[in-house]
Amino acid sequence: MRKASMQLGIRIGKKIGLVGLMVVAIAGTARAQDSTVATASAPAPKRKMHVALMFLPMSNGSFTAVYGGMPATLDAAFAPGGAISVGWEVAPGLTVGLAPQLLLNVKPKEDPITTDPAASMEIDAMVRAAYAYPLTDTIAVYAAVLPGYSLVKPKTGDPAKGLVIAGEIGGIMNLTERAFVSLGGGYQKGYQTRTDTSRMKDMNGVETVKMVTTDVRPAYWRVALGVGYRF
Amino acid sequence: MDCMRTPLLTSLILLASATTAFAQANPPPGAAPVPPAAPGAPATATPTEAPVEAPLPPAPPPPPPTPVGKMPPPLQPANAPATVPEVAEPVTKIGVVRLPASAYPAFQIRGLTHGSLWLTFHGMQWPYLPNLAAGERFVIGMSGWGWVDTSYQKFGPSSTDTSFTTNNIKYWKGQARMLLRLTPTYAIDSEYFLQGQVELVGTGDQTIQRSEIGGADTDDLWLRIGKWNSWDIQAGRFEGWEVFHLGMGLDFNTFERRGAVAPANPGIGFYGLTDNQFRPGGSSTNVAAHVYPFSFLRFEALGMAGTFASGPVYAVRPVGILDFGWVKFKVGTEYQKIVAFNTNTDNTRTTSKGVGGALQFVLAPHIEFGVNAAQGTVLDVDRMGTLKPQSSLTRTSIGAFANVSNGDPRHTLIFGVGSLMTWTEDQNGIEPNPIDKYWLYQGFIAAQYVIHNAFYIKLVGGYSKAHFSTAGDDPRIVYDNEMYSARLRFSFYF
Repeated sequence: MRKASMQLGIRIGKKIGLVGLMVVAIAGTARAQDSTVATASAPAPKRKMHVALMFLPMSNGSFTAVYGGMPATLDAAFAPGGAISVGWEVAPGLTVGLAPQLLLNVKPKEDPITTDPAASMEIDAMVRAAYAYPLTDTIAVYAAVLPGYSLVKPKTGDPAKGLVIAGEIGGIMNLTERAFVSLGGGYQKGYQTRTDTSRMKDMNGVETVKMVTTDVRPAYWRVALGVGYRF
Repeated sequence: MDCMRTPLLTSLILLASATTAFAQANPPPGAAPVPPAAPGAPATATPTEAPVEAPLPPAPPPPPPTPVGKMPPPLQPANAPATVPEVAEPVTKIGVVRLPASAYPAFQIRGLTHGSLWLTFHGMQWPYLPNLAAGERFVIGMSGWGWVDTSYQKFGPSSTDTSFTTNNIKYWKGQARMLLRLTPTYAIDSEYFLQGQVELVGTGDQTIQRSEIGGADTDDLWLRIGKWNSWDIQAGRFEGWEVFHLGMGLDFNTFERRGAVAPANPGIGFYGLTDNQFRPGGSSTNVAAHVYPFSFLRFEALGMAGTFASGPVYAVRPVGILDFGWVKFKVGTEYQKIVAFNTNTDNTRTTSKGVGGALQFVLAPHIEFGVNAAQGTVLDVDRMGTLKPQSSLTRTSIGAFANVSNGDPRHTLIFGVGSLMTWTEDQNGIEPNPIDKYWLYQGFIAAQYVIHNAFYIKLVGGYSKAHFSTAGDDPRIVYDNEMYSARLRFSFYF
């Protein structure tokens, strides 16, 4: 009896389940139709803001500094870096925003004084203005200019400060309506200087204080590989 | 893939008919004799393969006598006129066909369309040309590819590198290669097959080796017999299954593949279970058995024997691939031994061993990535039978890659990145002989656009750094070399 009722229950359960599935399927279909109608009638919202994380391998650069009182421009070591870019589309294709970046291992490849020069860190507060031109639904090319202010902070001592500017061209690939990947290349040049206080005493014991300004200017070919999201 | 090999089944020219003498074969066992054709009507074979776009050639002249062994006489109706000519048996159909999309198997997804994993077959039988109809079929598959590279390298040896007197060395390099692949395939029935393949190569420099003839050469040259999706035996010149995947950069014969290593530097290069993966040099031949117990599991047992410049050589390299499409796991090992020509008087031998594995993920249609690791040793023994510790090495490589695609079938754009790290050290650790240690980093970023699913434009930027710490002479010499490269490659797959 119990077995029979269980079988009945299973049958009923199956029927109920089947009905339930049909209801869900119909509801799903209706919802799909609704969304289709909605998609067809309402244009996709324009995403104006984006945030992107960038990997910045800086390569093939030069490092200008003063060594033993003699200015010299040497090959720069490979400097990996990263940036975060926040932009707002102010006109079709034209984006303006901020792109602060951090570079590591900023130093000459080989130092004329020490065999293993300590690496500096470069912090660039940059503004980013970019224009993107769509080639297809999923591909666009862009050109960007990034002026900013930079600190080259050595392991010890005062940082060098000054302007920095970068230019970049590349491509943007849309993965979805919101997600995208970008890859670009360009050049970056800094105009940083450091001012040191020089104190010298003459034979009479009179101390002379001088402010000595020296250049500490890294310049790099930059590659920017980014992953971003539009809001 | 379907798009790449669009049904330009360019001219499937069925020369099949009883009146064609290009090839003749026995009908399938048990097939009924074909009734004679009516007088004056040319006998035709019914094409059963893929749709034929090209028009059939005009009816050829009457057939010559059957050259094939004993054939049963055609069945003559009792009331047939005596003047009816004897018609040869039809016939194996001959096709010359550009390899169709189905010849590039993707029982599990190979990778993002047009990406680096997609251009790898992960051990699947390829070119895949089964006869879907009953009976025999002979088809010659045609395919190939070509590429032209223009690349630039800035090589920055360390000022303490004793091999160089200048700081920066710049190179421009142009390379080109094109090959035509011919794959005659004889389908015994819908399952069993005989297959051969030759790749006829045209070269543009590539730092010419392989006899340095600069002219005709071959890549693949093999024969194979087997059963589709079950097993095969392959012999000749071909590559073993890939385990260590490098991604969209580090192609053969490129600056980024070589890295920041000059010819004068101690040798170091990536090891990815690669001593016996690539086509063997010298007068040597591969033989491999492939087994496919499941659609997601494949095995290769590759053996090689022959003679290199330094002496006779033999090797084995078994590889297994577990492939569920979205995730792939590959593992293998290898062993190679080179001995002296006269082992009675000369104990010289070099033994190489290695093991490696790879884990790859394909999240179609946008992302694929993977990691690899391999380690190999080389034991070098001199003619007296004594180990040479300075040329006995341990090589270790680890690498990773990632490709991102827009997934657009018409305008496919792919970005790729990859990194590869290799360490090498000798076995000269007994005091006072300190160990020589080198390492080599190679990285790249690539962008690729594909035109009409066949023409690839790829730009690759590479960076490499090599560290040498040699102690053959005291004091130890330590220096780093650096290299930047940029390369534009045009490739055409057909």
